[in-house]
Amino acid sequence: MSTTDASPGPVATAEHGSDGRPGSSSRRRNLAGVAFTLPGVVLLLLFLAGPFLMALGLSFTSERLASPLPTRFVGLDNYVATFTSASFRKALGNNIWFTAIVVPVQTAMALGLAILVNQRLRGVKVYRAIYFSPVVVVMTVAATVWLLLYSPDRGLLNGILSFISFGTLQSDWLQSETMALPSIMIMSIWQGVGFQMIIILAGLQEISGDLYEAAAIDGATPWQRFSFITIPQLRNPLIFVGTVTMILSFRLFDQVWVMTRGAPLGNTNVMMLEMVNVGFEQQQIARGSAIAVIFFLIVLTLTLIQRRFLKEEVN
Amino acid sequence: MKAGPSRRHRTALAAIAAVAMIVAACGDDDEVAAPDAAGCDGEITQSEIEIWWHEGAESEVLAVQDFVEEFNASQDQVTATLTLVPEADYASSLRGAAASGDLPDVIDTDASFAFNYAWAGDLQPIDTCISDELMDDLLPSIIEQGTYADRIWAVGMFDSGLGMYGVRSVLEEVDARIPEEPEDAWTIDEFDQLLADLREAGYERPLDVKKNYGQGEYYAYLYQPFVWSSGANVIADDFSTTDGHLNSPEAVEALTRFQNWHAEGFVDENEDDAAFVEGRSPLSMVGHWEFNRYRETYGDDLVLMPLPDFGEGTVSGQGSWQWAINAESDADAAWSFIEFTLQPEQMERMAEASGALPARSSVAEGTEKFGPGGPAELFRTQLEEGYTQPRAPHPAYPTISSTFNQAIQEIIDGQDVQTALDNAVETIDSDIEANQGYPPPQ
Amino acid sequence: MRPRTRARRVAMYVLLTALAILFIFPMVFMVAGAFKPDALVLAEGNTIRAFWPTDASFDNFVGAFRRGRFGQLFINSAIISTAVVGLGLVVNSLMGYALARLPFRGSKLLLLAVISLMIIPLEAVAIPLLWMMSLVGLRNTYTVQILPFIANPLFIYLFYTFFLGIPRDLEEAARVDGAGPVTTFLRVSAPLAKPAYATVGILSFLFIWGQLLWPVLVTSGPDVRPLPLGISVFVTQPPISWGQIMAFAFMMTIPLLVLFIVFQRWFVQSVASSGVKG
Repeated sequence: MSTTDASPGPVATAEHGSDGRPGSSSRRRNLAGVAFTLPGVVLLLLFLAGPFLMALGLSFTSERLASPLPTRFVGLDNYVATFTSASFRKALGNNIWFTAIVVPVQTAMALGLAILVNQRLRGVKVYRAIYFSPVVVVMTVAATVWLLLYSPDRGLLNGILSFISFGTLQSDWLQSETMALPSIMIMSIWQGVGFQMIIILAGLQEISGDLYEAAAIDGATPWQRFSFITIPQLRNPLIFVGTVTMILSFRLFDQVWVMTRGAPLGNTNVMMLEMVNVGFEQQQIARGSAIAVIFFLIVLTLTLIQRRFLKEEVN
Repeated sequence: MKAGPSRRHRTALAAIAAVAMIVAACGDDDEVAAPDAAGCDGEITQSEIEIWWHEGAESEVLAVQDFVEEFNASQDQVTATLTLVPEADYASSLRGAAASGDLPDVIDTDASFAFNYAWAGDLQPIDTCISDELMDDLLPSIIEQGTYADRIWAVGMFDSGLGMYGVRSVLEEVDARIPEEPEDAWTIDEFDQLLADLREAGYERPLDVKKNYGQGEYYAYLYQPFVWSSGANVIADDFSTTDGHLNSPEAVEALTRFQNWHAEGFVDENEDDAAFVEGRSPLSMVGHWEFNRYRETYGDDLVLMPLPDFGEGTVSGQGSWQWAINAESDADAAWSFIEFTLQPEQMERMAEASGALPARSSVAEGTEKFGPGGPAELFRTQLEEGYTQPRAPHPAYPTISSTFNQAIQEIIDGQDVQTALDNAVETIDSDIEANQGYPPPQ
Repeated sequence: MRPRTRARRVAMYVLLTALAILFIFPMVFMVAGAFKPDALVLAEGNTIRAFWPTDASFDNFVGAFRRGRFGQLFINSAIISTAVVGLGLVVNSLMGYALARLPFRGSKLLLLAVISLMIIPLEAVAIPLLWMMSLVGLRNTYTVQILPFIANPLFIYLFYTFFLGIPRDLEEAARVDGAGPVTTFLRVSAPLAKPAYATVGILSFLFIWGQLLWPVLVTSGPDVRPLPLGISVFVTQPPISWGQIMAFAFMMTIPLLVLFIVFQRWFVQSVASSGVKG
């Protein structure tokens, strides 16, 4: 890296460099700065920035994995093929549907749980640990266990339903066209809500007790305290949790891979599964890359929305 | 192991090569790779070979492990090592390895999957390796299943077959006709009536189709014969299109019948893989590999019958796992192992382990099970008398298979059959088009 | 918000306990299933006995090792996770430190680049990366499962903000004593950043231990494959043995569970701090 030869002048004034030390030490620190960042920079270029540009490039070609046919430039063909593909559209729709349900439900549940475990009660920490524990069971394991819980004939869930409804209530869960995606939602919320709960809990604990005391003196009801103190004070954690859950909803893959692979009738197909099917199983690297680019644009949009809302708060 | 002197250089040039490919994406300077058609020249030039075997049935795995050990002990020119890959994702493992040039020297692939690799230049033809003696003894179905573009690319130790297993006493209870020859197969109307009769007799879900196997190659193996039996085909004889074949009225009719079994609830979920042996379902439609277990359970009460006739006679699947050789490997070294496994003695042991039909006629006829009058003779007569059909021996097969499987799953799940098959036709045909019709290797 | 009356407190415990049951029953089910014979896992699956290890034995664990190759897969996961977490801590903390404390020409731009890269998830680059890795023949190795996950913009940023927040005096003192940047980092700054290391270590371990999508693309066969893909294959490997699958699942959970129980406080703080930024 030739940047090490840069004159110390602009460096010294950059950000915090007001040490005014003699040139040799400054150059050494300069050199160290570059050396410290070098491994990270190389890895980020090779495995993140580079492949990302590659995705853009590949998405305009006909490249396939292991094909003897020559690669051609095909313009927007892959994007057109992607958006006209019924299975991609269904997958995208499922992601949106999943997001629309899971984000509000999971965020609200996380908030509720956080409030519950924020009480000064003996043993509350144990409950907090229990609510968090599904996070420790990685998603593939959780999905495997729930696969059996959801079994129509032998599953525990139908067993319980049947018991409390005297045999009238039953569901085919993952095998049912209408219930398959909701089943995956339920399981995902079970596994993930503890994570969000902890983040909101951290926010709750930062709210000053004085605010509540003052409100109590003014005779505020619990509901008023909740809606006029708790919620506004939790604005940032809640926005963060909401948008992160949104992004995770578009990255949805593990559960679907283990439990359904998109069945029945593509009702649990999602973008990431579609990308693996098209890009790897069907060897269409180029179309897979196009899906990756579309996916990135969605994530980018969500992130920009998140940053915008979070910034407003700062102002 | 393959010689790979250039690996380090390739690693270094990785990104550059990749960028160059994008930049020069429109320059058609990639030549269509012709396979290194060296084949066998009688001289072994490689001393170590790696073999991949799909890890499915444990008895087969044990047999292959034995073969490798015995092979290594039997000679000192070639040392073989065995890698086991779970069957559940064997195909995608192989696909990935092929993409990165990591295929082993000897590969076993399921039936027609070999031909995509052959087309892509990853395999070499093996017809120069097969001795006349062996060629004459192999079942015609084995040669048929290994041939693509007029060359033989793969050869199996055994062949397969489908049948309808039944409990004789239960069938007699409902006065069912019991067909034991392919030409006597139940008509589809007869079969549907039988399902209803069995339910009446107290068998709520009388049919087991091994739903526990889930979606996978098994669907393509078991259900393409329904299409063929209806008189339709899956793909045109010249492999140019599936339109008018897979979505023809005959195919739609046959698969609608199949859909009804599910809609009516005749099919057992078989989550415990015991619907038949526990007696819940007195009919089990499955391959040769269940013969031994079923026979153990029911003894002489077990009856093996052909699949139902959907209009143009019963059809069974054929073809099974077969050996192929990496294009970059020394064919003689690789073949020396394959040939070892194709000797009558080894073949017989493998047949014993897999329950499958030995690939040599001489061996097959000599077994008590498949021989004349044997309890599983049906599998042999089906293969020898033309009641089977190979899965499309064409490089498009992986796409045909996965798309067909998807369509079957949709049909099971209640999708309109015509719609499901039309979608499948569109997917397969666009794949063929995207690959410019899969121009055969020169 | 302290419940004032005794009745309210009891009600609160009832609610907390009911919720706890909801969260914990699948895990109890998993553990019970791991110990009982296959047939019973299914046969008792929809009864209250699903939670009881009837006819308990270790047979399923033996089966998970033999048929599911748990041992091999576990070693693979351990190697990959250790390498990713270990190398990641080094690479990301060095970079975060340099960006915070050792400015050089272009370092501000670099910081901006790191922040922008935070929005590119692995999934967006998986397919082209698969293609590149196939071209260079790196597929189906440990390396290909480790290298892409070492440098992580989010972790670099976490370290950056942490190092920015620790007082400069100590570092200055070390420097006056003649310590160079490397010594200062090793002796003074890094030890002060223990919470950041713990946070990043736990988050990256959680992430890599569960990673599924990338191994799906780049591994063939069990030689270098990690546990999450291993279990997804095992679930579909006939003859399907639910007892063995539950034993596999249970054993796969143990390392994280132990870490969680031992370092509970750190876990909670790590997760909490992942949300503080922004």
